[in-house]
Amino acid sequence: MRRTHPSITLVLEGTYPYVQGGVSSWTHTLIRTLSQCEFSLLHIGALPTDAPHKYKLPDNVVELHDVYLHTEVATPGRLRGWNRKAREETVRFLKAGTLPSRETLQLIRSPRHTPTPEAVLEEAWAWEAALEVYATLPTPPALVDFVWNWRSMWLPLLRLIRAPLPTGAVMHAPSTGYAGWYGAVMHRLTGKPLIITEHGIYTREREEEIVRAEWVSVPLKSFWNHFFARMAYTGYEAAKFVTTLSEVNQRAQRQYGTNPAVMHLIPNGVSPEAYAHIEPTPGRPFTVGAILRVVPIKDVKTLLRAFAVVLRHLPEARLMLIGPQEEDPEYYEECLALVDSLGIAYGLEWTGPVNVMEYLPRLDCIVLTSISEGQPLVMLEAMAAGLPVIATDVGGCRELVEGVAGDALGRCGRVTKVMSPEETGAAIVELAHQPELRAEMGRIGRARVRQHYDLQQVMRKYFELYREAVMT
Amino acid sequence: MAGIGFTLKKALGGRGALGRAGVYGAAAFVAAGPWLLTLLTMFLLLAWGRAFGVDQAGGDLFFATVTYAMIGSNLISSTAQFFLTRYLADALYVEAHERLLSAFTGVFAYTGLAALMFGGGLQALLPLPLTYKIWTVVLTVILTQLGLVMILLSAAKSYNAIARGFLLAVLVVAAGALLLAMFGTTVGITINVTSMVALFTVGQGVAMVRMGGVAVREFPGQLPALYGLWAQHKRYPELLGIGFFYAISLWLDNAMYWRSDAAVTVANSYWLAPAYDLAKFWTFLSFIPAFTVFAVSVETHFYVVFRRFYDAIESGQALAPIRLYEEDLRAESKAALWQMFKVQAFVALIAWVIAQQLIDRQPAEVDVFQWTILGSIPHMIWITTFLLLLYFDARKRALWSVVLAALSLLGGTYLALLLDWPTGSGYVVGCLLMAGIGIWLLNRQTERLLFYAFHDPNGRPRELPPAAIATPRQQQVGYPILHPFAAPHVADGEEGEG
Repeated sequence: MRRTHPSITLVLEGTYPYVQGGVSSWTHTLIRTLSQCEFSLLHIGALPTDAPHKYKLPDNVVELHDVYLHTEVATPGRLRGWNRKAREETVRFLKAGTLPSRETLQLIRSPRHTPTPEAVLEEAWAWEAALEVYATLPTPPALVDFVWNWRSMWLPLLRLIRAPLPTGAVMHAPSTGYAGWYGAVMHRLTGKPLIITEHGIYTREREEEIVRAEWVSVPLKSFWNHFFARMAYTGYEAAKFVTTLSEVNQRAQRQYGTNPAVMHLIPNGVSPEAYAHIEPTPGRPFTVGAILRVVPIKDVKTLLRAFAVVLRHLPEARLMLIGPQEEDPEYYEECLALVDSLGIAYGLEWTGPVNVMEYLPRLDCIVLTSISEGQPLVMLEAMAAGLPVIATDVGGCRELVEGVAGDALGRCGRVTKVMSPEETGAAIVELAHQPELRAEMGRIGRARVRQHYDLQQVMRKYFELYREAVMT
Repeated sequence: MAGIGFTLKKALGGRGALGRAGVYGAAAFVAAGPWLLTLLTMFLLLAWGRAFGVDQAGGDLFFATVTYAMIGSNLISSTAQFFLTRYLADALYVEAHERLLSAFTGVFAYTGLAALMFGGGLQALLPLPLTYKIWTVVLTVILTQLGLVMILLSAAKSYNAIARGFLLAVLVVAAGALLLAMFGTTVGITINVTSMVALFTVGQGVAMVRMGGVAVREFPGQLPALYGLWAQHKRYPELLGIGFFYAISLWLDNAMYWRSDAAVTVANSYWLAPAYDLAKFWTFLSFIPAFTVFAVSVETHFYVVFRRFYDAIESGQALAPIRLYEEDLRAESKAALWQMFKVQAFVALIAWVIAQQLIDRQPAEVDVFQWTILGSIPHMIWITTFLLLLYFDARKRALWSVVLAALSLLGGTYLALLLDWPTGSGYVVGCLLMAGIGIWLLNRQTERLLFYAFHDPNGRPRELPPAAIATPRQQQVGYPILHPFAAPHVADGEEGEG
C-alpha cells in the first residue's frame, strides 16, 4: 500500500534527528502523521559528531544520510577535463551565485574531473573571480579575512553539490539556506520537485546572527547577508511550492524573491483532542510557563527580567522554565548569573527536558520572549490546553494570539514588544489578577486551534502538495 | 648560511668601509672557508707525502680518493640537506628548538648508513689494499656527517664553531704529520699514501667531533627522530629529489668526461679527467664572491621585501597595498638576478683575463677553464633562480628546475662529446639552458605571488609541518606538543640558503 504514495526526501539542516526544537518537532510529527509515506532523511551538519538521535526514528523512515559542510578533503589534485563553459559557469556561480548548468554540476560531482571541492577554489580563474568580487565591496576588508570568508562561503556549497542524490520522489526542505540550496541543485540534476517550508525566515535569522557575530569583520557582514539571501533565492527559484506558517513570513518571502504563484500558507498544527482534558490544577500559586531551549534567540534574559517585574507585584508567583539547557552552556551560565543578580531564584524552577503534557496543568499561562520565531508550536500546544499566551510580536505570534483576517474569535493572550521586560511583566500581572480573563482566553485559544490548526488538516495539506508535486 | 647576512651586518656593520669589508670577508669565509681549509689540508698532505717518498702515482691516488670521497659524501649529504634544513626551519619557526638536534641525529643515522654502504660498496670493487679501503670508507662517512653538522650549526648561526672546527682539523693534521715525520719509523708507521688518507681522515674526524660536540652541547632534545622522517617526506616529498639532483648537477658533467678520451684511470681504480676537473674546480671557486654578495647584500634586501609582502597579508591589510608590495617583490627578484649576473660576469671576466696570461704554461687546462668560466655566469643565474624558488616554497618548481638543470648539463656535455666541440663548451651550453629554464620557472612563480600566498604552490593542502606535530612515540616520551598556528603558513625564508 505504502508504495502507491510518494516517497519523500526531507532535507534537514542542523535539526532533526540530532537537535530538539520547533523544526525537529514539526519534522517528527510530519513523518509520524503521514505514516503512509516513506521518508528518507538527508541531514546537513557542520562537522561529524557522535551526537545521539534526540528522536526515535519512525518506522517509515527508510534511510538517513549525513552530509557535512566543513569536512576538509586532504587528497591533493587539480581539475581535469574542465571545458571553457564549465569554467565560465563556475565563475558566474562564484561571483553571483548563479547555479551552474546540469553538465557543470555533474563535472563538479565527478571525482575524476574534480578530485576535491577544494580543487575548484585552487584554480587561478576562481582566484581571479574572488579578487573581482573583493573589488566590488564598498569597504575593502583585510584581504586575508576576505579570502578565508570566501572559502567558508563556497566550499560548503561545492561539497553540497557532491552530496548523495535524493532517493525520494519529492524533496522537502524545512528551510532555505543549505537545505533549500541542496534541493535546488538536486532539482537541476535530477528534475525531482522541491518543496520548501520555512518556519522562520532563514535569511533574516542569518542577518540577525551575522550582526552579532564576532567572527565576521564589519566590512564582510553585508557580504555574508547577500550570500545567504542569494542562497535562499536559489532555493525559492527552484521550488515547486514554497510554504510557510504565517502571513508575516509570506511577506518576508515575497521580499526575498519568492514567486507568489508557488506560495502556500500551511500553519503548524496540534491535535486538539490530545489537549482537551487539560485543566489547571487548583490550590497552587500563580505559575507562568516558558517552554523553550535556553539559547539567545529565545531571549531568556528578557523573560527573567519580566519575571522580576512580576515578583514585585506578586511575590508568590512562580516561573517554570521547561526545556533543554545544554545547547548553549555559556548563555545558560549568563542566565544563571542574571537570576542571582535579580534575586529571583526562589520563584524559579528549571525543569530541563520533560514531558510537557505533564506540566501544562500546573501552569496558568505561557510566555515567549523570543526575538525571532516562525509559528511556535508551544503556543499552539498551550492554546490547545486552554492556556493564555503572552508572546513577543515576532513571526506568526500575533496571528496566533489575535487571529488572521476573518477570524472573529478574539484574543487568546497578549502580544508584547521585543526585549521589553516591563511590558511582558505587566501582561503577566494582568492575567494573574484576572482569572476570568484567563479562562476566556483559554476558550478562545482552544476554538482557534480546532478551527485553523488541527494537525490532521494541516498534515493533509502537505500530503496533497506531495501528490501534486509528483503528478505535475 | 641561513641568515648570515643579517648576523654579520649586526655584528660588524656600522663601521664604515672597514666594517663593510669585514662583513664581506666574514661571509666569504663562511661560504668557502671550510672548503678552502679542507683543500689546504689536502695539499699540505700531498706535499708532506712527496717529501717523504710518496711518488706521483701515490699522490694521484690520494687526490682521486679524497675527490671521490667528497663527491660521494656530497651526493648523500646534499640529498639530505634540503630535507633536513626544511625541518630545522619549521622547528625554528614554531620555536621548537629542542627538535633541532633530534631531527639532526635522526638524519645523521640514515646518512651515516648510506655513506657506509656507498663507500663500502665502491671500495669492495677496487683493487686496493684493505687498510686503505677501510680508511677511505671511514673518510666517506665522516665527510658526509661533517656536511650535516655544518647544516645544523649554520641553522643555529654558530659560524664560529664551524670555523674553529676546520682550523682545528688543519692543526691536527699538521701536528700529526710532524709527529709521524719525527717518530713514525720509531713506532713502525711508514709514511705512504695510506698514512696520508688516514691523517686526512683523522683531521676531518676531529673537526666533526668538535662541531658535533658544540651541537650536542648547545641544543636540547637529543632523542633521535628516526621515526619522524617518513612524515617529513610525506609532507615535503620533493625535498629529497631536490637535494639529490642538485648534487648530481654539480658532478654530472665531470662524470661524463671521466668516461671520455680525456680521462685517466688512477691506480686501476678511479676515473678522472684532470684538465676538466681542475677547470671545474677553479670555476666553482669563482662562485665565492657571488655567494658572498648574495649572503650579505642580495638576500638581506630581498628578505626585507619578501617579509613585507607576506607580513602585509598576515597583518590584515587590504588588497591595494598588498598589490604594491607584490610588485616590489617581483621587482626585487629581478634585481637579485641582475645583481648576481653582474657579480659573476665581473668575476668571470677577471678570471678569463688572468687565465689568458697562463695559457702558455698550461694550455690544455686554461683552454677548458676559459669555457667553464663563461658557463659560470648562466650557472650562477640558475643557482639564484633555484634559491629564490625555494624562498617562495615552490618546491615542485625547484625540483623541476634542478632535474631539468641536470638534464641540460647531460645534454650539453653529451653534445660537446658527440660533436667533438672544445672541452668545456658543453658546460656552457648546459648552463645556458639551465638559466633559461630557471628564469622561466621563477617568472611563472613571481607572476602569481599573491595567488601562491593563499594556495600551496606545490598543489598540496596546507597542513602543519611534521616539525610542529609530535608523533605518537614522541608523545609517549613526553615530547612537547605544540599548538597549531592559526594563520596560513607561508614560506619563512630560512630555507633557500645552503
